[in-house]
Formats: sequence, C-alpha cells, structure tokens
Amino acid sequence: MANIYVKSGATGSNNGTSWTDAYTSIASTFTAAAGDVVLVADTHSQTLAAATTFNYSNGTPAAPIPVICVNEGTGLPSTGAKVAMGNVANGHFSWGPGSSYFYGIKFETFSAFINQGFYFNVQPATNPTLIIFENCIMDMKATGSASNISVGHTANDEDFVTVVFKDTDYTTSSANNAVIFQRLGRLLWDGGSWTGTFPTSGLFKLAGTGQPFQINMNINNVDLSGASTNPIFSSNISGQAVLRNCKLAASYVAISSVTWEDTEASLTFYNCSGGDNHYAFEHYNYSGQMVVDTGIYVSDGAEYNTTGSKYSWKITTTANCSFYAPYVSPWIYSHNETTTAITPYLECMRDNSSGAVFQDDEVWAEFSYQGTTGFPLGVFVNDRMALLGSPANQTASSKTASDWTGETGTPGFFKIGPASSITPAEIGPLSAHVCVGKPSVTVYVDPQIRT
Amino acid sequence: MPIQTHTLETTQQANGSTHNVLRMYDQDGKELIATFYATVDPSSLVAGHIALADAHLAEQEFNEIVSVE
Repeated sequence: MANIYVKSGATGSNNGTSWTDAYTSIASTFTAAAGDVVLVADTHSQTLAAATTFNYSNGTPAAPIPVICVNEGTGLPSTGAKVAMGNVANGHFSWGPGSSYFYGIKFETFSAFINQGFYFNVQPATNPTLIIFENCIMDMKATGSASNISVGHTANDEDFVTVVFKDTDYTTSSANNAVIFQRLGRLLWDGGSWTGTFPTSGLFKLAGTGQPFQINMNINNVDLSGASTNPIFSSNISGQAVLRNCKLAASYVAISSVTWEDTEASLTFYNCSGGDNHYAFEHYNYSGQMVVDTGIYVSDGAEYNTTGSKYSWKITTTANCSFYAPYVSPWIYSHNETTTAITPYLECMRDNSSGAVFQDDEVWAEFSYQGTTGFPLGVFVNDRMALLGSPANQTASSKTASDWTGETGTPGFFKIGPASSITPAEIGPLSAHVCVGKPSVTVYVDPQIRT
Repeated sequence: MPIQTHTLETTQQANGSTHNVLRMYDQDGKELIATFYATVDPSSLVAGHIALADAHLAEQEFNEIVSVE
C-alpha cells in the first residue's frame, strides 16, 4: 500500500513516489494496487492526447482505488486538478471495469464540434463496476452528437455499472450533452448541479429503442434549474427514475412526448420545484400521472403548510389504461390505531362533468389494512366493479361545490373506498391508492384517508 | 405522422403558476402528452412541445421503416 503522486511539471524521476518524483500523467496510475492511494496535486493540469480508459483494474466495488486531489502543502483534500482531452476525434473519457473513486478533479472534453464523452461502459465487465466522483466537475465542452454521459454497456452479458456523482457538477455546451442510459447502468447523483446549454429532447434518455436499455437513476439535492423549459424526460423511457429535493426551473417540463417502452417504468419527483414550494410530488408512468395541485382542493382537505393551505392530487390518465390495467397512484398512507370497524374512504371530484361522477369501472380505491392477526400480512379491499359486472356510479359525496375550490363547470363529487366496513386485526398501516381505468381523463383526489 | 390536434388542460396554482397537461394527437389518434408548469401563458409553449412531438414521431417512423427493411 503506497501513496502515488501525480503532478504536472514534476521534474524529478517521475516514478510517482513523491511530489518531487511525481508522475506527470494520471494515466501512469491506472496500475495502482489494492490499498494504494493516488494523490493528485491541486495544481495538476494535463491534456490527454488520445481517448483514455480510466481502468483501475485492481479496484473493486468494495475497495475502489482512490484518486484524490490534494493541496501539496497541507496534504489535505482539495480541488483544482484538471484532466482535459485534446483535440482528438472520439477522444472519450471511459471508466471501468475496475472500480475507482475520484475527489476534487475536473474532467474536461475539448471545446469543439467533436465526439468526446464521459462513458461508463468498458467491457468486458465480468464483475460489478463502481465509479464514484466527489466534488468533481464533469465539464462537457465537446458538442458532437456522441458527446454525452453514457451509463451502462453497449452489449448484453455484462455486469452492472454504478456511477455515483456526489456533490459533483455537470456542465454542458450543447443539446447533444444528455445523460444516456445503456444496459445495466445506474446513476446515483447526490448533490451538485447541471448548468450550461441543455439537451432539448430530454436531459436523461435511453440510448435507443427496442433494446434492453433502462434508465436507473436516483437524483437527490441537485440543481437542474438551468434546464428552463427543456424537458427533463422525453422520447422513449423504460426503467425507473427518482428525483428528490431538486431545484427545477420555474417553468420546468417534467415530461414531453414520452413513449413508454415498459409498462412498469416510472418517473417520480419528490419535493422538486422551481419555486418556494415544499410539497411537490409527481408520478408518471405508462398509464397515467399524478401531481399535487394547489389550485383545486376540498376545504377540509390535506394541507401543505402551517397556514392551512390545501391541495389535492390531480390524476391524469394516458390513452394506455383500462379497467383491467388501470393507472395506480402512489400510496396514500395513514396509521390506524383502532381494531374496531372502520369505513375508510377518499373524497374525489370530477371536474366540469355536468355533475357526472366516475363509475366503479373507471375510478376506484384499493385499501390495504392490517387484517391478519399475529402477522403484518396486509389485506386488500376495494370498490372496483365486479369482474364481468355492470358499472355503477361511485358513491356520491356529501361535499358540494361550496366545499371545493378551483373547480370549473358543474363537477361531480364522489367518494371511493370499501363498500362496507373493515375491521383491522392489528394496529398499523392503513393505506390506499387510487386506480383509474378510464383513458385520458382527470380526477382530483383529496389525499387523506377519512374514516 | 405529425401532430394534427391537441388539447391543453390548465389549472391555476396557488403560487401563480399553472400546471398544464398537453395532449397531442397524430392523424392515427396516437396520443403524446407533455406535462409542465408555467409562469408564462402556457399556450405560448405549446408550439415547442408539438415540434418535439413531431420530431419524436418522425424518429419512431424512421426506426419502424428501418426495422422492417
């Protein structure tokens, strides 16, 4: 186990054993052994002359090879080291299959209409690959059509690639600089920002169609507000993406012209907004979508601040749902503290419907309660129309137009929940989700379980 | 198949923005959706979404032709 030193301009014997004798190229450290630590001077600046694969072959997901920018004087972690690519066609930065950890380093592609990207797809990958960047900058100056962040493999039969951006920034220069998902790639982005010129047809997208490409992404505390009205997701989507506590543009576009390649694909935004809002919640999939709506709500409905401001869930279905394959909303949770009979329900509203409510083959609730004695095994109950039954209006609500705010025309007010009471066997979770089997409709739901 | 018709459903939000669901249909009735918040007149943003949808549909059509051949 040794420290390996990298510093441009080092004039010693350049064997990596000290700052004086430091390597002048980071590429000289790719053979670092397990337990070695690569120290890169914060004054280090080099330009690569060819496409380079950062394959620290002795690094594993359990023990990635650390490559840390440090201040030469203090020996403490720092930032400022830079590794740039020269004017090289297809001069990509590639990582893997060995695992590695980078701190404080800026990676920069060449500023031209040229294909240079940050690729995490080196094969063969017979074991999982983990590449971590902390306090780094991925500076995409190249603008060619293949100048993107590419996560995952271009072929089948490889192992997982996980890319972690921790407090790491991505700067872009072109609409071509999207984050592209290939096969078996994962991106965990915790903190940082994306600034510059943004892709116009999806910030995060698939490498293609008709292939086993999947988005697999968790983004937390990242500033994406520079995207303006460029859609965060567009084009073909499969896989799962979750964004939490992110700053978005004031007029952000969550999805536009998405083709769902996977019926179980989903995009979920928790508390992501372009304003001083702390209640946003959005869910998108093949069958429909749900967003928090603060313009239409019931007067005794769920609240999002201490002054009693209300909101509802606005559920909108796509053309891709039916009675047999409905849009299923995220769960609405509550904690039940009784074992006596209850009749839980949700208040709903069908806007501008000439008073019509949805029927039980169109909108229904599915509740889960603790109905099993001695185990946490939940029991489902719903008010869906019986299979091969005849549809009937859902139960009219006692709420009227005077109880709701923001509705238009003459709405229909109704409630959904089990037709008869249920008796929990144990205290515990009582949850509900809303199922909508009617295509291309909107329903407003107060997301609090009433009993 | 370019987008032929569209509908825009807008709801005013408490913070002054609007939430918008834009449904776009090609001549075969295929639906594409855009969902966005807007602090400006949302109708001014519709053309951009339709252009994106047109490009997406054209790409899909091209891919279908290529895969058949």
